[in-house]
Amino acid sequence: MFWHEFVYEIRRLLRQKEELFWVLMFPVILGTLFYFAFGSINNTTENFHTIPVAVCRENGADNRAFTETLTALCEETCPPYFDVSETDFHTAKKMLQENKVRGIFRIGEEVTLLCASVEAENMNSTLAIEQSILEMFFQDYRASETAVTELIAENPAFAQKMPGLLETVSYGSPKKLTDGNLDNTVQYFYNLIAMACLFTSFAGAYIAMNNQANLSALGARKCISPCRKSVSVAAQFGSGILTQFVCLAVPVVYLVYVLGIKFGVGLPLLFLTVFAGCVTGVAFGFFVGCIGKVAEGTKVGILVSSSLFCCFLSGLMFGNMRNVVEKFCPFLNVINPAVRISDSFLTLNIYGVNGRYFGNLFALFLMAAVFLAAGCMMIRRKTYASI
Amino acid sequence: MAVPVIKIENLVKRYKDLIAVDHFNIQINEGDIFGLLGPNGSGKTTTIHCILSLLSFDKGTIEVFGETMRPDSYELKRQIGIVMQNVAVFDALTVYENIDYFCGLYVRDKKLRRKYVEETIDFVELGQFRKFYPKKLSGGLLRRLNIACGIAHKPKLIILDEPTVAVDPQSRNKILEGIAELNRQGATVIYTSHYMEEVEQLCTRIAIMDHGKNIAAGTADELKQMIKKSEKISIELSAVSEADIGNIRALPHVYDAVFAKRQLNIACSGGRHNLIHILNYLQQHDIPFGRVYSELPTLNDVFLEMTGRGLRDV
Ligand SMILES: Nc1ncnc2c1ncn2[C@@H]1O[C@H](COP(=O)(O)OP(=O)(O)O)[C@@H](O)[C@H]1O
Ligand SMILES: [Mg+2]
Repeated sequence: MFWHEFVYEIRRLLRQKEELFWVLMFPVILGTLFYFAFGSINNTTENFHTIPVAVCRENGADNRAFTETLTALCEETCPPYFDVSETDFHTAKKMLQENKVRGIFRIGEEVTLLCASVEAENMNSTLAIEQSILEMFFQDYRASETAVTELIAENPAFAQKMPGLLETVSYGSPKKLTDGNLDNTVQYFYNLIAMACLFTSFAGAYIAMNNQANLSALGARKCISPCRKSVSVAAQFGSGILTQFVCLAVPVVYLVYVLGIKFGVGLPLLFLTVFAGCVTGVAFGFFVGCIGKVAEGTKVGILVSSSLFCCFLSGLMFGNMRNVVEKFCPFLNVINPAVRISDSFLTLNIYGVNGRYFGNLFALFLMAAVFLAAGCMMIRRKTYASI
Repeated sequence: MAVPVIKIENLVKRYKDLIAVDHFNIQINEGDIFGLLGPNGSGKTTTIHCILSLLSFDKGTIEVFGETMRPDSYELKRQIGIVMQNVAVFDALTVYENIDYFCGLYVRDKKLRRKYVEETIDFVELGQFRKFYPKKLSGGLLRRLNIACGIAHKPKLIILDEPTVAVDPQSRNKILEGIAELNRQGATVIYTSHYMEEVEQLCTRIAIMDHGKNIAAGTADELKQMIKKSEKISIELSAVSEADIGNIRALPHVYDAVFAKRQLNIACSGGRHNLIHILNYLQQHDIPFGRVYSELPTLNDVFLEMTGRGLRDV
């Protein structure tokens, strides 16, 4: 029964031309338009710029591990990761306000990072990206530091065998930054894929509607057959994700190989990200599809508008939108799947696989699980007061 | 000894303030083609949905094959085939695939399924359309596909809810013949309609439904015997006096006579020799007459007399 449903659902999905258009052709077309609108990206690409930072030492304090890490990143990478100005805190703050540096490392008993707030007037998206690189670097540095400190605390012998371990902790694997592409127009392409991922919600909505007696005549026919709803939904969910994922791969490959958009990582990681986005999209659609007696057209309307709205907030139309949201309602960025998807690509490009990337994936799968569970709750009841 | 396939007792279903099914009782036996006849909105579809436990109901009991039907009565569902009032097929699947998909929900064995699907396609005569998508089928063909999707798994009980609405006469006859054939092959059939001719032609037993109530049940003949006006005689005349009409009204079994448009319409009840009595009277009084028609009442007359309105005026 599972396979019967699985196979037929694939057939149906692959023949639904309108939905295929939105997931497959639309991103290709829009991507091409973006490409020409932004000019030939490959030529204008400024690869990674060195990020100016200030370092202040309180009362001449030092932290060898941190200093060495910083030095390594300045001297051993090309172009250098950071451009360090050592000054006192007062001057540093002034520099930050004037946008001469992106952040201030204060070395005291602990190392802290101070950045301009995103609401600063002169903030633009390039600055915002640089600032987030800085934050990411610092997060990862702190994570490795904590790990080593804990290791030593648990196992003091370790420290004796390896004197200077803590000192040599440096930020583990700085990605070859030149692979990345910091041209802020790439964000539009990332958001474009996020949008395509959210458009998979149409397929999800039909799974719900085709299995619910009070939602469609087909659903009624399904409900009077001896096939369990749970089996049908599971099978169709599987084929929905599979087909949508395969369709989404087309625009991704197109962006990478035809338009030459830089993602900074290979296809497998891109596909993993798209897969997560597609699971979330289908689950979201399923959830909306399950909502009681709302007309099919209304549901499609809800899906289109909410997908586009999410992408709008994440910067598909105005690149700076995400920063604006961060200022007024940061939580919205946390739960906006479009932000999580495009941020995954941004993280991959700038930094490769790291905690923030996995955090994004986790958030996406968590959202999918919540939508799926909520949808299932809604359609569990099996006799209806009204059809 | 009649074996009950469906037994409904005291079924009540409300939608908020509206009572859609009102203390409804029927028993449908094995081998019946049971007609549920009633005007639009009389509660036929609601009753069917209650039988299938798609709808919850307020009162009463429903037994299918001697068991209470529940949403998870998968074994019961396996033996039932339903053709709903609204066409429910997938636009993205061809005729063959649609039938195969729905049959596959009931029949696991692939070989058997292929055989059933082929037989069904022959049965509804959609052979030359098997690769067509539903959008390309005319109304009648689409209805036949809809039926095929409901019966391909050879169910013991087939429920058809107004399967001939908006169907051309040719397809309609094919459908009716097909249903009779399924019944001959052993299926019990429930057929709802608001077309009395269809029900009368097809069904072995009939329940007439109005405002959710079962107002009469029996074979077509039994139903017709229940009403007073069981024969309608029309005689073409050039003229007849009021006195003669009065006398005719006074004849045994005649309870009404009206002269209009050169035609004398006489309603009679019971009795076997009504026509002879009337013709004798006309002859004896030297009233010349032309053509004579004698009609038995239709189910519409039955409905009219029991509810005060025709099946069609609703
Ligand atoms: N979902 C519903 N909500 C409210 N009223 C309904 C609903 N479905 C049907 N009805 C009403 O119940 C009555 C019976 O409808 P139905 O069973 O569809 O009649 P039929 O099939 O005989 O035409 C009608 O008056 C109809 O308006
Ligand atoms: Mg109906």
